[in-house]
Amino acid sequence: MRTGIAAAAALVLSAMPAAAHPHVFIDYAVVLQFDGGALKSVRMTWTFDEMYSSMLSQDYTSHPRGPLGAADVTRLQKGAFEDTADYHYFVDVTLNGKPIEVKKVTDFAAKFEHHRMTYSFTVPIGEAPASGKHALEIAAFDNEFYIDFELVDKDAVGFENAEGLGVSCAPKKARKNTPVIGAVDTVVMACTWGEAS
Amino acid sequence: MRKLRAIFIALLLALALAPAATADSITGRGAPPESAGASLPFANGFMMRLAAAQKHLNDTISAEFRSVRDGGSRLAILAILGLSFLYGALHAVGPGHGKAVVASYFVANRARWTAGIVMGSMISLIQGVSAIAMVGLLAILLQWRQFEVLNRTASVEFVSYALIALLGAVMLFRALTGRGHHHDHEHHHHADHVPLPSGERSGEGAGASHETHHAAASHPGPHPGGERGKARPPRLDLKLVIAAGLTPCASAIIILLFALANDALGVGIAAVAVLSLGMALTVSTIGVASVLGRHTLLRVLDAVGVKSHRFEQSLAAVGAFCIVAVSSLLMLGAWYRI
Repeated sequence: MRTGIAAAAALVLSAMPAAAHPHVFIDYAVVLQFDGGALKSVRMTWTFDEMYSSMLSQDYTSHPRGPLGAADVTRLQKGAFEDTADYHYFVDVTLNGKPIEVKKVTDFAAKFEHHRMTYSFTVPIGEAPASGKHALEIAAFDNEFYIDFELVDKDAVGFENAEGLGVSCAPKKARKNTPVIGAVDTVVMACTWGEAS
Repeated sequence: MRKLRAIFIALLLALALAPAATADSITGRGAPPESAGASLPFANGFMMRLAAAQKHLNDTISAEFRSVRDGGSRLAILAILGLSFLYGALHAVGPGHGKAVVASYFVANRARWTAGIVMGSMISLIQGVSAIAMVGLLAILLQWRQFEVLNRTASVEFVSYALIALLGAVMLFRALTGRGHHHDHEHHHHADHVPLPSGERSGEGAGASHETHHAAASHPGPHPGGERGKARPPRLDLKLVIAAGLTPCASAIIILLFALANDALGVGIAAVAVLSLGMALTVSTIGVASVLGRHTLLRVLDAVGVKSHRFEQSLAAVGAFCIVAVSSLLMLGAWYRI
């Protein structure tokens, strides 16, 4: 009987429900925006796969495949971006090891180039002190795997007003928990800056 | 009583481990589910590689569709078909696609390994047909917007899972009460029947008695002939296959919509057909593994002197329970997204 229970458990586990396999593929990049030596925000850029880009441009823009106007961007934001707030915009970010809950983002922009839709938006980081040594880890991640987020191959990270801060960033393997398949290994962008005081 | 206890424990396990199944496109998602936290060893690194491979295939298929639109070379079409097969096979490795139903069904029911292939393939192919029908009706005839078509899959899923849950509940009821079968453990009524390939619609002829009907696949009760007995394996449960096949794969819909946007609907339909074949490979593999797994388990039990026919009854109940549990969860997940 115990074997049966184990078999049943294994079965339930192996047969985990959910539409959890990527249907959307997004390449993302981040730009760290400093001001007066402190990190103020991170600009996040998502570039969609061609198929999903095509759906977005057909449904939400006036000229499919063409350049976007202001009205197109607004339509995209309202129709196909704002509801990701429920998912914290798929942003996972920690500052000095403490998670920051992303509730609101600003300055949404969108463009359609080379058959791909690109969104960008600014994630406020809050009150990061200007002095001392700091560490930031940031990633775009959908823990249900409906969307597969990956760091872009080239220029995955950039900086603004970072002169003299000694910023250094590198992709880093990290383990994240998901509701569907448990812990998974993924890649985050890990950055450090400032001097130890 | 032991049987009931096993079911009770399985129920608790399922409740403890089962995640809420809500995921949809960027638009039209439901509320995020509460995070549970069962960990699968294979998940580490594996999901990432699997997703990266699919992304690569998705990129290449997209580019080939554009070249079909722009020039229409045969090579591009061939590339799309070949890559779609791989895409389907890899994509179906992830959760979903009827694998749960197939695995549970073959834990509950004695069957030949070929039945695993037949059932896995039929579900995958019907899912492809369902995607083509949805896009044909909603996107082409009714001119719905693309996301409206994609998000409509949730409604179809809801119906599909509701039907599966219902069929599973009937299976479970029969397994628990032993109702609906007239043979007892000492008599092999079917021993004189010629074994027929599973999935074949047999029994319409002279042997189509009431009893044959009950020996059919929707009846998961114990089969006293044992795994090696001469009794005819149950027929495939067509109702279950069709119910599980109703759910179109979102990726199939997305490919069709992309083909439509690139004036290459015909190539899109062919791609989805091949994609379904790829998925059939993966889902069939799960089916065959489940058939063989059950077979091996019962053989081992026999070898150590456990009366396997008593165990078969538990398996029937556990398998049926899994079908009900998984499909109910998926049904709830779909409900949030409608």
